[in-house]
Amino acid sequence: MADAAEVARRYQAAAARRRWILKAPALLTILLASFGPLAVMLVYSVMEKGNYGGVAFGQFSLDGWTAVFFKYDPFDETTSLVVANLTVFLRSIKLALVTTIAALLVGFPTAYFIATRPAESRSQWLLLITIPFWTNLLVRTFAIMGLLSNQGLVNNALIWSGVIDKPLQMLFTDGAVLAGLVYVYLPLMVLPVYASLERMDFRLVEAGYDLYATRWKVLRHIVIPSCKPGLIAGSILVFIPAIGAYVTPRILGGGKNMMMGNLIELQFGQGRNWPLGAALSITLLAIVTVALVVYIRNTAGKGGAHGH
Amino acid sequence: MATKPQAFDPKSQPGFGFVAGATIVALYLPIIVLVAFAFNATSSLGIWGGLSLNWFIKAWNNQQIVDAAIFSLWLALVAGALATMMATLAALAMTRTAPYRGQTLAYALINQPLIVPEIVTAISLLIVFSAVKATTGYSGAGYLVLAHTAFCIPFAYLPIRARLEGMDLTFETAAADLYANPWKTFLHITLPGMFPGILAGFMLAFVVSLDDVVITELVKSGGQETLPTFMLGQVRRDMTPEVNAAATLLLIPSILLVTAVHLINRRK
Amino acid sequence: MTDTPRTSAIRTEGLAKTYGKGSSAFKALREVNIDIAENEFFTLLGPSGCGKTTLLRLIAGFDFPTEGQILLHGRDIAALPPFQRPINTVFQNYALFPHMTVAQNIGFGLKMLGWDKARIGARVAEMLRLVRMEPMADRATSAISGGQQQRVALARALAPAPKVLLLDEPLSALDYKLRKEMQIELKRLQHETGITFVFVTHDQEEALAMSDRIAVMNRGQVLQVGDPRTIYNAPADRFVADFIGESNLLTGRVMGAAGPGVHRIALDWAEILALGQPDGAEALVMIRPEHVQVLFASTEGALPATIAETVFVGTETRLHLRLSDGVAFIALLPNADATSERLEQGRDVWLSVAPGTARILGGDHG
Repeated sequence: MADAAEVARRYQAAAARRRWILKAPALLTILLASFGPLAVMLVYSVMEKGNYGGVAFGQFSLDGWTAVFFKYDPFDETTSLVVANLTVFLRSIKLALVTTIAALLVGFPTAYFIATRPAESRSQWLLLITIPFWTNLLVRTFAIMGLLSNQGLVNNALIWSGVIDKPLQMLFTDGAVLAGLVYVYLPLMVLPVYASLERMDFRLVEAGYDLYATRWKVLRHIVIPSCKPGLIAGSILVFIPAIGAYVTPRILGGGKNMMMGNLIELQFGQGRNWPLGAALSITLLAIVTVALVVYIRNTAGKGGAHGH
Repeated sequence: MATKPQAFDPKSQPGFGFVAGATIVALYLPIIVLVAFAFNATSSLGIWGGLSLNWFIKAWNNQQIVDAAIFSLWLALVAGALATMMATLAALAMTRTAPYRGQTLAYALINQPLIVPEIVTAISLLIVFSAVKATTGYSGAGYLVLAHTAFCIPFAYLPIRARLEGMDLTFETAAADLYANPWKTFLHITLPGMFPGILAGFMLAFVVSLDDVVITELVKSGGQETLPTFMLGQVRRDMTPEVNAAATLLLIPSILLVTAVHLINRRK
Repeated sequence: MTDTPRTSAIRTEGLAKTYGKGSSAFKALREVNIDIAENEFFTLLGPSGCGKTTLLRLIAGFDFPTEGQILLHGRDIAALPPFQRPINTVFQNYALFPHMTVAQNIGFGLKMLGWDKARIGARVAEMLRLVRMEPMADRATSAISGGQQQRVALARALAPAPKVLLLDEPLSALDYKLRKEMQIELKRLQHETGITFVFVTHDQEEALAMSDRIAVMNRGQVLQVGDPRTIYNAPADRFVADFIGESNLLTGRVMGAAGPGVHRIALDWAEILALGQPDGAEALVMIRPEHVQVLFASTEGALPATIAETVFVGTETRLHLRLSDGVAFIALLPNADATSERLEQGRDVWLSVAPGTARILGGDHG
């Protein structure tokens, strides 16, 4: 019979093997249908574009990357900025930032209010926030479209009350896209902010009042600093899908008010410039990654600190 | 008359209750309006013409909608089940163990689909799958199942992992002490213990698959319309409350399942 | 000490367990040799981190030793997984399966052993009777009290009639009264079932009250094995003397033998007789507080001291004293003595040690 230490070693080896076998299906699926394709896309971005979509394999070219911002004119042999692409980039960043700020302004008071409810009603409020988060994004965007359209409820109400006499064009504007983005991603702000407020020690607030702070000062100097990780998490969670949004700008922005997601998709449809599309995708991914790194730096730094 | 002194509530902030109330109204009003107009008697999406079930009947008789609904449900069931199984196995391997090499990497990989914008994943899948389609000639539902399974895994993984981490390892130790071999221990102790997590994981995966539009739209082949991609296709047409009826049907499973998950989590 | 003829249930030989490797290695157990007899109530006693739980886990099979053997009735089981060992455990937090009823919990081990339903039912009924829980059979484990959970955990571990029952601080979660009750209950169960009990605790009082024999452990080693009286009256070294009960430890010079096993030890101001074998010119002498008599006049062989504080503790009075060289000394006097009023602070007294109670301790003098 083998001695116990040897058996223990064998058990450990078997456990390590079992861990990898158990993880394999999930990891392989994600490698195959999520992570791997991203790597393939990186390769596509440095290939010559094919005539009818696709790429010409083996023909290395940086044209896709140059085309992100520059355009080469073969007639007068000049290179100029692609204003259209630049506009879409700037609009995407602007819309994503404004969406994040709006979600913060609405989401923080909402989360604070929920966190200060008694336990039973708190859980019901949370459910009310969670349901829209899990309901179909397309359906919710449709709902906003229904409200804002020329024959929609908002225009009808305004006409009926005599504020205007013919419908306002609200759809297919940046404003409509913004409203849609805030509407769709607001729960992503409320939930993490709520989570950090729930952990907050409200005796700190009482101590603040005890030391003659006003309501505003308590909010500014006690509440907001102690839920800062939640505010940052919420901001990142809203910013990332907002800057990568595709459905919302497509439906509410129409053809003109594109965001990066739509520009990318265009290269694989009418544009037939796959290398450019791939390069644009990677650029978007890079922006998202930077936002994530900022977030991880912020939370990792706070993790070790005590208090808060 | 003297005013009654009001108790000072240190937690309350002026106006926050109003904002919270307005948020809930703003979150639900558009959906309620959308659902309401599915019951409109006329074809208007802005003027109420009386109550009727016409649009639901019309949707029911629209073969495109019925086919899309059936395919959506089938896809969500298959991908949700696969993702839940894989996530369960992965969670078993990755929780309640001493830290080991490769753990962080595996964890990052599991959550990778959550981080990348959907359109980017969709495009990269389009690139890869179109190459595979061209070489193999296969254009079945396998691509959609694979893609949906992949992005459902992190959603299924989340509640299963949370449940497992809350489970005390001494239950398994006690079972081993009482003559249960590792397989029986898993069957009689671990599996029943983690079941609420698995159930919640499956429901979330199901909802996430049912909701997806971007990846499906770019990966699907002919005849693989789901309810969301069908609705997306209707945007530029003359829209009638028929779409609202379809949307209403799509809302029902989401709301039911999310409420169920909420109740499961609360009970533990 | 010689063993009386008996069969051994559990014997360990050179048992050692090291966690980790290299510089971060932690020796949880080193060279443990114990011999637990059949039908014995054997206690592993020591402070937390002494290795008693590790030893228990090795016997149960939840961990494997780095070196050495564990013999169950002469057969080495050190390499067997827990589910192949006829040994059951009562866990510190009971570990009752939350998704099973009381009866299902008790029957779990039997089901795993492949018993048929009827036999399981009969055995579970018998166990419920044994721990007096018959009316609770179909309750959820969350719907019964802590004391009742304890009984269910016992019944579950006893149901498969293990050769050895391991108990890992099973009473620590109970309140004082319930704990006393369960101590008696455990003794009864051990008598009725005739199973060997290996009991882990850090509570010396509990160990003394319940055990046939005690193994005192510290830093991964067994320091002394013996029955409660031996452990209390003749501790092997300073650690055991300190850990079990209260003791005064004084160092003195060995003046010579005064009879078989008795030596004269010179302290600074007096000479006393102490039992035991000194291993040098110096000896460490242990005097239990309750073996001290307080005198109010100088007597030959009595130690002069001053009362620093008097504490009334119900049945007794505790005297905190200072010897003439400033060393602290504790005496415990029964309150029945009329002297208690005369024990005011600052008073000079003389301490006489009851004959045959002072002990010379072996081992380290540090």
